[in-house]
Amino acid sequence: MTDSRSKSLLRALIYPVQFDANPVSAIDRVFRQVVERAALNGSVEEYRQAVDAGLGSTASVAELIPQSHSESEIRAYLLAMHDRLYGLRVEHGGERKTAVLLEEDLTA
Amino acid sequence: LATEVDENPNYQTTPMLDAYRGEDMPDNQIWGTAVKYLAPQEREAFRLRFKDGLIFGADGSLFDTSEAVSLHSSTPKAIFVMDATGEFFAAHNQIIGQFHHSSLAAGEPVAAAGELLVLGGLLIEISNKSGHYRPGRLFMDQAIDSLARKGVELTGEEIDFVGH
Repeated sequence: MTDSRSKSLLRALIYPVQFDANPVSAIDRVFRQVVERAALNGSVEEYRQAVDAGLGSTASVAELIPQSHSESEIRAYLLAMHDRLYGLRVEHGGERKTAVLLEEDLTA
Repeated sequence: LATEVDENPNYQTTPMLDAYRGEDMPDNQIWGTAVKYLAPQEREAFRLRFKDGLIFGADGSLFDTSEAVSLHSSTPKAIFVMDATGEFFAAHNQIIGQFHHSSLAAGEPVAAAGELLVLGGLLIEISNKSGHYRPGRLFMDQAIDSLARKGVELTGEEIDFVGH
């Protein structure tokens, strides 16, 4: 996760949840406000790549912005966002539901 | 002895976090897009006014956040900052990498920052949720003090304070 574009897109995903007690519960809001609005001119594919890069990196993703959640909390959130981006619906609390493809979400 | 009330308060301010310095520059490494910083004359369009306990926009209409977007809330809220003199500025749409609390203050220190939920001019909720400033309790108290001076009395139920 060395490229600045991935870091910017990860900041866009992490920034909105910094005050949420449970970031995973905010997945739908962030998806709506960031991904669907193509924040930072990012496509769904770019957000997928950024999340994959963040999760695959040993560098801290929690420290990309000043916020209070731990590295494990942010990675759990990004994992849930990964599932959302790839079409798996995530229920509040982070429990995976059956794989329901959300084609309308992937055409943004 | 009567309590002396300063009619021209000079509130303490807190700076924008260093992590966001330079975000208004093109091709910055923070967002990759330039965040809009309002010039003083542009900021006037975002000034809030107060009368009879109600909040009005700069155009004189009752302020209402029914269609507003704050990145930190699911319910529609405006983002706001308060300057050292207790003046409020609020925007209906927070957009990642384009428009933040820092836009309203042009990256300068603020005396308070957060979100406002306002319906028909009536303040329903105020928070200190600002990722760019992360203001503590003192700054929320200053906002409440300024609102009271402007005739907006809070019971406490309207306050959504998050510790940092």
